[in-house]
Amino acid sequence: VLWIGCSDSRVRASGVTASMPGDIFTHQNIIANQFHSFDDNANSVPSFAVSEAVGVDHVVPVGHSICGGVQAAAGAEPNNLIERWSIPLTELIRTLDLSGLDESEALEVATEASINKQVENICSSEPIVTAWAAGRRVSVHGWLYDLATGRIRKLVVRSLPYICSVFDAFKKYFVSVHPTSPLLLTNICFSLFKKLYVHLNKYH
Amino acid sequence: MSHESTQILLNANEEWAQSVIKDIPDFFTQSATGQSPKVLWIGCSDSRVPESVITASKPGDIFVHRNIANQFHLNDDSALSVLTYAVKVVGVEHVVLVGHTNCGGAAACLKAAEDAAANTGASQPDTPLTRWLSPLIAHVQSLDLSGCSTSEALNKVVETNIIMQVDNICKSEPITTAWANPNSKKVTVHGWVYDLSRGRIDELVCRDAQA
Repeated sequence: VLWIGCSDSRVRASGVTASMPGDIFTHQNIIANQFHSFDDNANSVPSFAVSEAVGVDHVVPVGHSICGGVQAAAGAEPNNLIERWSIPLTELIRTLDLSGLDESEALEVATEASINKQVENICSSEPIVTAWAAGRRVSVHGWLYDLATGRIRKLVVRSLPYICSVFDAFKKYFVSVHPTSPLLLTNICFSLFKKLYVHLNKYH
Repeated sequence: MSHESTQILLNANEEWAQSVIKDIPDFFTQSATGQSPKVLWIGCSDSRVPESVITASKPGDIFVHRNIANQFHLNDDSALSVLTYAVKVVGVEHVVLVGHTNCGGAAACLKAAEDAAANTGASQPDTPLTRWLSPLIAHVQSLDLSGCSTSEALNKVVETNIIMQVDNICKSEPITTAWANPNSKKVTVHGWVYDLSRGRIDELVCRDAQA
C-alpha cells in the first residue's frame, strides 16, 4: 500500500492503522495531502512505489476532518508560499456550492471534494496511467480520516480500467496460445495501445 | 480485483480506534481540537521507516514530510511549505532530517551515476522520479567511491545525503529567518540515520543558531 497523506501530526499512517515497519509506503505533504500534476516530489513517489522495486497494488490518498490546510485554502489570496501551494485547492473550493452550509459542514464538503480530486489527479499521473496501460492491477482509493472518532471512511476507489484489462487478457491469451512464435504484429498492437492510452489519459 | 491489503488496514484502524477509546475515552475528541507537535520529521517514504512506530510516538507528537530519499530541495514548494508551516505556524522546536540504511532511492542514484560513468553518451529518461533524484545523482558523481565495496559506497551516499539535506534546510528562508531573529522560538536542525538492521537511530549532525 502507498499512503499519500497530510503532514498533520494527528494523522500518522502507521499509527491509525496499527501497522508495522514494512507495511505502508508513505508520502506526506502539507495542505490537505495535495497531488499536483506539476509536483515532482509527489509524482516521484508513486513512480517508485508502483515500480517493480516496491510493487504496491494500492495507492491511497487520505484526507482528514478539520484540516487546517483546507480551511486556509477556502479563504486564501495567494500572497505567500503556503497559499501558492493551495491555489489548486482554493480554485476547487470556489467551484463548490456551499450555500446554506455552516462552517463545519462546508469544511467537510470541501475536504471530501479535495480527496476525490486528488484521486483523479493520481489516476491521471504518469506512473498510474503507464501501469494501467501495461495491465498492472493497481487501485487508487480515496479515504477520509475522522479526527474526532479515529476512524477511516472509504470515499471512492478506482481500479484498472476495463479496456486495459481486456487488452491484458488478449495479450495473455495470445502468449498462452503461441508461446514460441515471435508475435511481432501482436507486440506492435499492444505497444501502440499502451502509447495511445497513456497519451489520452495522462495529464499534460 | 482483491482489496484485501486495504481492507486489512481498515479493519486494523477500527480495532486501534476502539482500543484507544477504551484506554482514554476522550483522546480523539481532544485531538480534534488542535495540534502542537514539537518536532518536524523529514524522512524517506520507505515503508520500513514509519516515524511514529520507530519512535513510539502518539498522534499529535510529530509533524511529518516524507518523500523519496528524504530530500529537501530549496526550489521544492512541497517541502518548503511543510517547513514554513511547521516553523512559523505550528511552532516546532526541532527539525529532524532522517535518512536510513539500504535506501532504495540512494541505491538508484548510485546505479545511475555508475551507468552515466560507463556510458558517457547516454542520458537519463525524463520522468518525475529521475528529475526528483537528479541533485542526489549529481552529488554521488562528486564523491570519491573508489576502493569502496557496494555496501560501503551506499552507506557513504546515505550519510553524505543526510548532511547535504541538513545544509539545504539550514539555508532555507524559515530557518535563516528564525536564526536571525533573537526573539524567534529556538529551532534546532538535526541529521539522523536510521539503521534498518538494528532498528536504532544515530545522530550524525546537529545545527542551531550558534553554529
